[in-house]
Parts: sequence; structure tokens; C-alpha cells
Amino acid sequence: MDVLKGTLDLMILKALAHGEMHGYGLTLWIRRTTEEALKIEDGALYPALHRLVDRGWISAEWGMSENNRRAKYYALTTKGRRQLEKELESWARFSAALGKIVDAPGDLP
Amino acid sequence: MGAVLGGPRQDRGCAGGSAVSERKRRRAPAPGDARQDAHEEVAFHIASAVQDLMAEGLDEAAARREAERRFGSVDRVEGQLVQMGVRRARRQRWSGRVMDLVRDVRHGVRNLRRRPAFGLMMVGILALGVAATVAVFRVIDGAYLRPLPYRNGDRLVQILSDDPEGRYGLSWPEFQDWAREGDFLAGAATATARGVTLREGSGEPEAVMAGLATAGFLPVLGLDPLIGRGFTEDDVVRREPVVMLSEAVWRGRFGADPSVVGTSLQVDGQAHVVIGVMPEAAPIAAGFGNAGLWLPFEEQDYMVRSTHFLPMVARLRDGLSIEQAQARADALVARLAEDAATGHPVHAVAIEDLRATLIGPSRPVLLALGVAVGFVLLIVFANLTNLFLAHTMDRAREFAVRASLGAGRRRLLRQVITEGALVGLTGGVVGLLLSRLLGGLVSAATGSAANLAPNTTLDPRITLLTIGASLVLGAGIAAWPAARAAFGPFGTLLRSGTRTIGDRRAWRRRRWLVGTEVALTVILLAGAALMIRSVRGLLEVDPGFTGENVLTFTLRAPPARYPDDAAIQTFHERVLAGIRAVPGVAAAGATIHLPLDGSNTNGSFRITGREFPDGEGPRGNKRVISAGYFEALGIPVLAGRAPTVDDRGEREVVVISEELARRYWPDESPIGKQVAFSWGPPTLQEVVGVVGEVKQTGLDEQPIGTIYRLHTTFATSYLKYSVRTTGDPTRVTSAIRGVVREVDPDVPLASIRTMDEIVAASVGNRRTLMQLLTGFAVLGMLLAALGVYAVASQAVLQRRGEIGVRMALGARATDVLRMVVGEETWAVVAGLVVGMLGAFAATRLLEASLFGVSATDPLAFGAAIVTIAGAALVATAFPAARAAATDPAVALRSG
Repeated sequence: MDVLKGTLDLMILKALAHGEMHGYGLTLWIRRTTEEALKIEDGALYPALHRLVDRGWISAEWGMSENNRRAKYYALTTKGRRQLEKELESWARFSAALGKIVDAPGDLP
Repeated sequence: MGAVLGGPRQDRGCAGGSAVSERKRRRAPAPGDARQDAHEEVAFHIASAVQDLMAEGLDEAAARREAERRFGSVDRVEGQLVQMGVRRARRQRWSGRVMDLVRDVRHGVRNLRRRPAFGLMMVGILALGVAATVAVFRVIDGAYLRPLPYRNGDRLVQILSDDPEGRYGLSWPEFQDWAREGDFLAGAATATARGVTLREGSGEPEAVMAGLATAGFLPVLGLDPLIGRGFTEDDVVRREPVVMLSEAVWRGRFGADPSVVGTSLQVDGQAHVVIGVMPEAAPIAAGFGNAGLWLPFEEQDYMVRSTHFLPMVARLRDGLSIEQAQARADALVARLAEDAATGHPVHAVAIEDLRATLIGPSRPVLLALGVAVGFVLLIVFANLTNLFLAHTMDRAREFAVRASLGAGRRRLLRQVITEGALVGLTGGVVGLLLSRLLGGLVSAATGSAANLAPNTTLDPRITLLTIGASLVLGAGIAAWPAARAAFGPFGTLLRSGTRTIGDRRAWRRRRWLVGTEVALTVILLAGAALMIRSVRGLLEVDPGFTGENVLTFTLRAPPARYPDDAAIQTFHERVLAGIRAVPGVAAAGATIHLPLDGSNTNGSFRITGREFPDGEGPRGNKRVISAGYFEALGIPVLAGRAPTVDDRGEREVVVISEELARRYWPDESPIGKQVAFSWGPPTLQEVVGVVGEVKQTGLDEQPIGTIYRLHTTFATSYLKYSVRTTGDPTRVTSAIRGVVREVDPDVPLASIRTMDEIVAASVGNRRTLMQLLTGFAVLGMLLAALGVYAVASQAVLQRRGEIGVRMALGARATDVLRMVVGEETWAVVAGLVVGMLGAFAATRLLEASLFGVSATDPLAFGAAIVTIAGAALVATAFPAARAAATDPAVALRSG
């Protein structure tokens, strides 16, 4: 499946709700959590991350990893947390509505 | 493997885990720029992916290929990130600047509000300077900088008769010749004006000025009628009863209602259909602007080849320059002159650029006003700089403290300049609004060029220019004070504890500023004094008639009801007879041109039995008059007699003025001699009287003589009446209206004015120029005096300690007085000297407007110097007196 920009943002926010991560870690998290169902170009993540930083929903900080490698770490901000809740709520409503349509009785022509 | 996911919140399974550690051990410094940042971040990702893929079994090269495949284009992503970073940095820089500006503005406003008197004074002075400058600039802008309000206006020219005596209009046959033969023209038109009687429905008849235009008038100018259509060739040739409204009348009287097209108006008793609206820019090209209606051009009997009065507006053919067109015209004149079949004299013509023709007469005045206003602005600038400097000098301690506490010097600089810019902005806006008040005066002084000035209140170009220039001016005023505030010698200030700082150099510079103001003011005062003397001199000139208690008005016998000469003459005779019977009327007469009313006809006549060489024949102003004219205006009869009501019918009598008698009959009496007056029916007339010389075209004219013919032999539907009354002339107006109504109820009185008003109006633009220059000079003088006072007061205050010491050591009050006055006035004296030298050069600009005085008139210059010297002396007196009255004990204590 191709992924829309808005859903990518949602995935990033949700991922970072679980804790601080760098970009590569995010890629792995998404791959693991969706069990390889979603294929995104890894590179598409980074402009999305920078955009979310500009918006103030996540924050970025350079850090030293355990193997002494420099990496840029991203974390959710308070604003971002609120935004995530909003997005999850509207996503739930959307899929519920969609579900009703899908479950509606009636045969296929 | 055991890679641990960052954070203790959730623990996912290790299936498919990574060899890459995801936890952050500690912070690290960010790379310097956006490019480095993006590159490192992406590189880390690729490196980590390669590491994991190799752990899964691929070799390095394959792992790298797979990692890069999964990533997408590395370069593209890096490029995107870099761009985003650059944009982010730029945004932050800008928002930082905006925040700084907002803070500076807030500071500035607070500072100005803390000393409202200072702020208001600065804004007020600047507003006056800006108002004067904008009022004059508006006209200069319209005249020189803007394109003409016509399509390709620089291709438009005016064609004039070229004579050794000057350039004037063409005659109607000449216009037609040139319109037809001029192959260097792509269209030509002309327009003139005459009075008509307008009646809307069953309302009162009113006298209105109507323009008469040929069919090409709007097309040549490249304009379209605002609504409806313009005149066609048919309208002109067939004399169709159509009329166009002027834009002013359409908007003012008819509320810009488009449905007025097709309605009917009574013009001169005949129904005319309104076919359209003439745009207001059009008549400017023909040199007049106040026509309320427009009619198709009508050829009249008087429009013979020798009567030159029409402006010819034409468009040059593409690709031709004026010089080339002139050359072709000259060639054409030469060819026609040689062609015997032409049978009439061919006049040379001059082709002038239309803009030059329209603004030419206004040039000297515009130049003088422009220079004067420039001086005013300089004075304002110097004055405000001085005031602002005093303001920051007073706050010097505050600045010193702030500087020592680490406020950046540049920030202090920026803040003070922002304060100045705020004053500039406020002063500019107020000045812009004030300039409307001055606009009318400037227009009156500059004449026709002002027609081209933009007349919307907030013309966008001028508004933006003014606001921008005011901001710069305000910042400029604050520049030197800001530099002192930010980079001044703070150390000594904080140590010595004095209130204000001032080194000798700053004080000397401030006095130079005051000296400059004085110098410029001297020049302005000299100019004003010269104009005052000129106008007064003009008004003292004997005009040759007595203007007091004379009422004037215009009457037209409309051709529709008075189709022949006899009817017209009877009309005027009946009106005159009726007016003479009104109580309070001492004398009444009529003429075709009143003295000094702006209209004139001149030309040549012949003296029977005398030959003159070509071009030197008798010439003079020509008038058609009624009996009683000389009595009504109080023009003295010097020899022979004035015409009476009995001079009618076959007796043709003529009266000449003193100058003509002197010139052409120097050794004998002209009474009884015969002349041929070639205006109207050509007959021989006998000179019956000689009258005093009258100023006809201006109080400053050189006499050329006037010859008068009776209207009973030359029917003129349009005559200007003059009525001498025993009391206030306006009191007989309603009685006269009654008389006219009795003769013909459909003829309105037009242009009702007293003769005094006409005389005053004839010096109108000179007088307005005088008023403007005087206003500028007074403003300059007040500012200069204020400057002297401000510097002197502050200086005295600062030197209180020193004065106290001197007095304690035995100096007397008069010594102190002499010291202070000497210190404060050397700059003023220097300014007076420089100003006088400058005035010698500058007043040359006024030469065109002066009358009876030279540009270096000593009386005027003396008055100027005395005035400003007096003002400066008074301004110094108060602080000097205060200094001399110092109590040494108090002064020493406060130090």
C-alpha cells in the first residue's frame, strides 16, 4: 500500500509516544509493528520528521548512541502528544464510519 | 542479538531486531550548518542499515546497494532536508528582526509619550515642512514627472502662429489648411469656448461656459468619452443639436448617472440631446478647464483668416520628431507663399511639444517655489536635529547607564533611530493631510501647470513617496543624536555625575546648524520681501480707470432669438437704457473686453492717406463699446468727445487712446481723421475723441494703445457691462436683473463681479506666490529663532557652574550678558552674511514675477536681515538675561 503524508505523520507521532528514537530506529519500529505490511521508502521519513519539528510536535536533539555514534534523536513534545490524541480520535471515528459502510447489509451487484 | 528499543515503556519482541543501539547515552553538539546536519543524519541511517543487512548475511557491497534501494534517492532526500533547513534559518532570522523592530518601536513610543511636548513639537514642525513640500511637489510631479493624461502624450504637439512679436493661436481657415495639408500630422483638433444659456426643463436660465470642439478632439488625444459618444464630423458640419456634459457637471449636478445620455437640455433656447460626457483631462490640452458643457465646433462669421485665436492640438505622425515636423512645416509655408494662387498671406507656424506649451508659463514660479520649499525642508531638518540632540543630551545619563549594563551599542543606536523614524512617520502622515490645504494656494500661484497635478487626496504614488521619505527624514534627524547616544563618551559622564554631556565640538556643531537655519531664512525672507514690494507696487499702478463702485456682468443675446445685427443692437440698447434709469446708477456702458479681465483682441488698422512699411502699420488693442462706457469706468476724455447714444446708423465713429494719438499723430490732432478699423463690417470711421490710456492685459503692461468702435456698427451678441453706482455696487444687482428680465426673461446675468474684484484677480497669481513665500519665510524665521533659543537655553543651563564661578570671582552681570550673547550669536552673524550672499544668487529665480524692484533690491534685503537678526536677538535675550541673573551661590552648589 502507498502511504499518504498525513498517515506518515500519525505513525511517527505514535512511534515516538513510546519513547525517544532516531530515524533508523523509527524505520525498524514501523516495519516491525506493521509486520512488514507497509513499505515506505526509508528516506521519506526524514522530511516528514523535519516538518514535524518545524511544527513543534516533536523535538530533535543530537546525541551519542551506545556504540559512540552520533545520531539525531526525536522525541514527542507536549503539543505533539495533544496532536496525537486528536489524530487517534479522528482516526477511530473515521474507521468506525468506514466500518459501518463496509458492514452495511446488501448484496454486491 | 538483544537490541533494546529506546525507552522503558514497551518491550517488543526481539524478532528481527537490530544490531544498532537505539538508545541515546548523552547529548552531542549539533553540526554547524544545515548541509552538515542533513548529511550526517542520512549517513547514520545508511550505515546502520548496512550494518544490519551485513548481520543478515549480505556482503558489504550488496548490503550497501540494498540499503540505498530501501532508502530511495539519498541525494534527493539530503537536498530536501538542506532546503528545509535553510528556509527554517531564514524564517528565524526574520522573526528575530521583526521582534527587535517591534520592541524598538514600543520603546520609542514610550519614550516619546514620556515627554509629550517634545514629541508634539517635533511632529508639528515636521508636518509643516512635509505639507509645504508635498503641496509643491504635487504640481512638479504632474507637470514634469508623470506622463500626460493622454495616449502617448509625448507625441502630442501644439501648433502656433510664429511671429516676431510672439506666438499665438491660429485662425479657423489656417487650422483647416494645416489639418488638411500637414502630412506630418496624424490627426489634429481645436477647441474654443463661449458663453451659452442653459436651461434644464423649466428651470431658471443660467449662464454657462461651453467648450466648442472639433470632431477630432477626443480621438487626437486618444481619450474615450466617459459614457456615450463624442462628436463626429457630421455633428460639426451639419450643426447637429448635440451636447456633451463635462465630467465635473456630470458628477456634480447629475450624480454620475449614466441614463443622462439621450435626455434633452435647452442650450441657447434650442433643445440639444446629451450624447456623452467629456473626460476632464481633455480640455487641459486646449488650455482651459472650466467649460461646463461641450458643443460641436461652430464656424462663425468672425472667424476670418486674420483672427487668430485657436489652439491647434495635433499628434505627430509615427516616427517623426518635432524638428522634422517643423522642417516640413517650414517647407510647406515657403511653398505656399510662393504659390501665387494662394492669394492670402501665409503665416509661419511653430510646433511645440504639448507639455512644454502647457507648463511653459509656470516654469519660473515652479522653480522658485521648488527651491523655497527645499530651503524650508532643510531648515526643518536642521531644527529638528538640534531639538532631537537636546533631547538625547538630556537622556545622556540614561544611555550611559544602559551602555554600562551591557546593552549593545548598536541596539541603542537602533532604538534612537527608530524613535526618529516614528516621529518622521507621524509627521509625514499629518503633513500629507495638511498639504491639501496648501494645494489650492500652490495651484493659484503656478497657473496652468497645476491642471496636470494629481487631484485625488491620497494619490498612491505621492502617499508612498511621502511616507517613505518621511521615515528616512526622521531616521536622518536622529542619526547624529543616536551616534552620540550610543558611542558618546560615557566614562566621564558617569564619573562626573553631571546631567548632560556636551563637548565643545558638539556645541559648535549645534551652533553651525542654527547658523545654517538663519542663512536659509535670510534667503526666504528676501524673496518674500521682494514679492511683497512687487505686489504692492502693482496695486499702486494707475490702471487708467476708476474701479471703485463699478459692477460688471456679461449678457448674451442668444442667436436663436436675435438672428440679425439690428436685433442684437436693439437688445443691448434697450438694456442699457433700462439700466441708466435705475436709481443709484450714475453711468452704464458695455464693451467686448473689460480691462484686466483676461481677454483681449489686438490687431492692425489703417489710417486713410498714410502708408506704412510692411509690418510697421498701426496696431493696437481693439474694443467694441457702447455709449457710456468711458463714463462708467471713469476713463478720462482728453480731447474731442466720447460717443453718445446719438452716434448710430451711418455715422461711424471711433475713439482712440492717448498712446495711439501720440504714436501716429504726434504733431497734430487726430480728431476728424479717418481710419479703417478692420474688425467687423469694413467701413471708414472718423476719430471723434482721445481717451486716457488703460491697462488692458495686466497692471504691468507696456502701453500699446487701444482703438474703440461702437457696437451699433458692429453687432456683438456678447457684451460685458459696467455700471457705475453711487453707493455699494452690489445693491443694484437685483434692480438690474429686473431690467434685463423685462427686455428678455430668458437671458441670465453672467459673471457678476465688481471691477475691484477683477483688478485684484489680475494680480492673483503674483499675490498667491507672495503669500506662499511669506508663509515659508515666517515659518523659517520662527524655526530659526526657536533653534537659537533652544541652544542658548541649554548652553546656559549647562554652564551654570562656570558662570557661578566667574561671578563669585567678581564678574558683573553685564560681563556675563556679553559673554553669553557673544557665544550664541557668532553663528547667527555668520548665517546672516552667508544668507545675504546666497540671496543675491537665489532671488534671481524670482525675476519673472517681480515688478518694480530688482532682484537685489537693497530695501528688501535690508528688511530681511533686520527681521531675522531681531528675532535671533530676542531669542538670545531671554537665556542671556537668565544667565546674568544667576545667583552664584546657587549655581556653585548645583554644579
